[in-house]
Amino acid sequence: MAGFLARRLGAAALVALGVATITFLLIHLAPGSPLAGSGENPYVSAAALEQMRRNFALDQPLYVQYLRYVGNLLRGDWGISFTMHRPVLDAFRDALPNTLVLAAAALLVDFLLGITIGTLQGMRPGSPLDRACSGLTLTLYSVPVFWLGLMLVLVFGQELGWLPVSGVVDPILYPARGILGKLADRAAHLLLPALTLGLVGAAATARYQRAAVLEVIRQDFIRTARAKGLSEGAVARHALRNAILPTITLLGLSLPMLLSGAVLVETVFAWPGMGRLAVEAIQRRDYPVVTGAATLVALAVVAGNLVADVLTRFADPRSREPR
Amino acid sequence: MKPILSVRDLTAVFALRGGLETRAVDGVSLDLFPGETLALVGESGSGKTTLALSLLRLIPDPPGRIDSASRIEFDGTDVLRLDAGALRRIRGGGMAMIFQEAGSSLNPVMTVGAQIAETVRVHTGLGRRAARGRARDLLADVGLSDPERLDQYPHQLSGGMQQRVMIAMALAGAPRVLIADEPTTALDVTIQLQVLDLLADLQQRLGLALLLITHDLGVAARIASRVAVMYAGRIVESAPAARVFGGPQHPYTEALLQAVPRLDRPAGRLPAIPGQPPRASEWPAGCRFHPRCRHAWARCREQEPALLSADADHAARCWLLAEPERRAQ
Amino acid sequence: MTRRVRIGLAAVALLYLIAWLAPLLAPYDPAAQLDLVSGRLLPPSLAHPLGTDPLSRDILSRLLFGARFSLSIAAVAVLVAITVGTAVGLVAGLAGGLVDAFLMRSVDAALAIPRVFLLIVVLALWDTGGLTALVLVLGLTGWFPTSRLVRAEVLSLRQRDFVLAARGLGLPRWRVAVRHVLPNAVAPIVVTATLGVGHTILIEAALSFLGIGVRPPLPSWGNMIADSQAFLATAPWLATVPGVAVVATVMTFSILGEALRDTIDPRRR
Repeated sequence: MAGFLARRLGAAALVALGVATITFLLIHLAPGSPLAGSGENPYVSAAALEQMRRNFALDQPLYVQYLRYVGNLLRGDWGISFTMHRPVLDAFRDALPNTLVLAAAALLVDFLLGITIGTLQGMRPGSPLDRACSGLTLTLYSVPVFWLGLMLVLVFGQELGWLPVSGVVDPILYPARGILGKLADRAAHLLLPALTLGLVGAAATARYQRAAVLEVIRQDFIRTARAKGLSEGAVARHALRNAILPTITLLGLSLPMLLSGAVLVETVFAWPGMGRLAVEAIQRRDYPVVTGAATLVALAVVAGNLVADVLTRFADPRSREPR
Repeated sequence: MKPILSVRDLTAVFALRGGLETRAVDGVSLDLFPGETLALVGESGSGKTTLALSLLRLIPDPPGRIDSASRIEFDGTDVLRLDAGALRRIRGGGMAMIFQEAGSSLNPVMTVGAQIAETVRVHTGLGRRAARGRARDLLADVGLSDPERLDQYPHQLSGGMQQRVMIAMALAGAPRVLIADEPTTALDVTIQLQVLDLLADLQQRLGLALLLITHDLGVAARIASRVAVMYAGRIVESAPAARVFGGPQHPYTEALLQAVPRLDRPAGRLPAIPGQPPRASEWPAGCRFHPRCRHAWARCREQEPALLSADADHAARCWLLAEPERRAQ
Repeated sequence: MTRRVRIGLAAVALLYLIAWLAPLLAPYDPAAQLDLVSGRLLPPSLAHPLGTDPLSRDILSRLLFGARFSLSIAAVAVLVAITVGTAVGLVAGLAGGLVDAFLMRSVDAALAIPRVFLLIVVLALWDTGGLTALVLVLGLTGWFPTSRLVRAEVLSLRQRDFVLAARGLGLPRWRVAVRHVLPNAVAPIVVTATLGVGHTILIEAALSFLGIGVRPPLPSWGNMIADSQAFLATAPWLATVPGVAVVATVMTFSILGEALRDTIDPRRR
């Protein structure tokens, strides 16, 4: 297992480097220099401009710039934000946990809802339940995630007034609350964004899981399970243990999709995470933040792949055999 | 002695596209007595596997269903009228089944021990540890005494071993009847013999009634006490093993036996049965074998024979039993 | 051609017809600010069946023209994606060896990057704007699945007899590819394309929502939803209507795509 992990980490590092390279190339191949737009950018001070010039060493040949860039990345110097006047990594340090919390909650919703519905559908294909769920998942799958968020805000925030619709905590009441109150406040604020992000993912997961269960249920060992006298529930568990494998891989790989969705959901719900940070940076042409975010996303993707790989190895005994 | 399993007029109907229906098993009756091995012999398409699956109601519905006139009595209980809970107790507990491809019939992501122990727990009240111990004993009974086997996965075992695991799992609920659907077909010849001998041995030791389904006459000859031959959804001959192999009454059985290569006959072309077995949607009128039978005459084309008795315990579905002079030379 | 496929095709044709005829069907000019004094944020009425937006523009008209933009952008982008993807897949499958390995590793790496994020970064950095850039970038980030598909087809057909026969007759590889291999790949490509149009519409809506897709004053369902955020309390239909349009349109393509996939699937493998 250790050897496997080491090899995978090595591969992951290579991919991360690859993405950083792509990001670098994107910046430097874009029309004009990376700082071209910043000259007229009202947010950028002369001092920041100088700092960037030094950091990027724009007068040097490309390969030197590249090496310095990678060196900086590794040393933890990801540049200074043009508009926030603080190191990029600092800004990330504040925003990243919020996004991670949102992503984790959404993943939970996605996983629980998607697998449950998908399995129920797969065990009873063609039934009214199956058809109804298929219609539901098809609809959800066609919904733009940001619009879903807005609709949820409309219904639950505005019309019904049940849930808060912006921020991580209530800015006024939060500091005064006790531990439980604080947790409740956080949970209430997390609910709608996580639901929005998770529902669309759940639709995709359910469809995938349904197909996986259908595939498994046709197999001989399911017939054996019934012949042994197992209850339908136990048979479903047998099916699930097999059908869940491709879905787990899918979930590991869905981290990128979650991050994309997070960008949109954070905008709708004013959630102070990486997504909103990136969007604002883009709108203000804050390049260091944009490239830093791109690199971070790449790392997240690599991590997601790694997790999926490890989970599959762990869950499917057949993949452990030496070939 | 009363039969432990008694089947009467079993008919399994399958719905095809376009509203058609076919009867893969058409009015089959048979008895299985405790302690005996009944071999059900037939080619693929004869309906023998459907018959086996029907006994435990494992035919998926849709598209298949068992006709309401059928009766399957296990130890006095009509299996077809049981509710879900009682049916589950019979499955594995009263009648157990093993399948042809043991490899794909075992859950690939569970250890062998876990799968057997699960069956033990379902049919006895044993707890986890006790069930695991019982699983170890069962594996030893089928010749896999290495305790490491318990924690191995199916794909780590050879075909023969996988089949042994299936047998162990089938015996976990202490059934009285074991239905073996082509248990050796997917195995090497030498392993086939081992598994067959194992089945015969277990049957004797545990007093099981064994229903062995096969297309291989050699397999039937090795361990069966009685043989029933199936063709086109019907039983066409039924007799003690020695009689069937020594003096078959139905032309189909005759032809099957003649097609078996034998060491004591001069080598030459093996006589093959002309034509193909009919598909379930196209049973011929009259006697279903008549298009391929060298003795067939008008009566065979028009009227399907019932099972006629050649003897006290030997019956065949053929008009030759009524009109022996019609037998061609 | 099952009934589902026929219905799906009819629905898609209807959508494109509406989009094409938008100039005729729209009651007003979508850019016209009709009455800034008392005509803003009007609820649905006979004069304005879907109401008016914050700049007193008729929503129905904007919706129709938005359809025009979204549907055509998606169609062209998918066309670009299929073309590039097919070409790359053919080359990879036929060339084999290092070329194949390099191309497919690159595709793997590219697929690992979240498409929306990549689009956001690229479109933001190349700020020249314009729909051409949007369409091109959408297309150039969407060809990866097609290339994989085509490559798989090529690989599976390479060893088939009729291909070997053609090669044996001295036909050059590319000719074999185009005349013999490609026709077999058409069906799954069509499925991918159909589903791709639906995806692209969703992505374009997201980009327009963020302000980097179809930019104002041009109407897109995405940017209409963006504009509606501030008025959620006073004019909820502003946000609801474009969203419903997106959902209905994407669903149509999904249903058609799946119906097509069902027709080719059992017949083949």
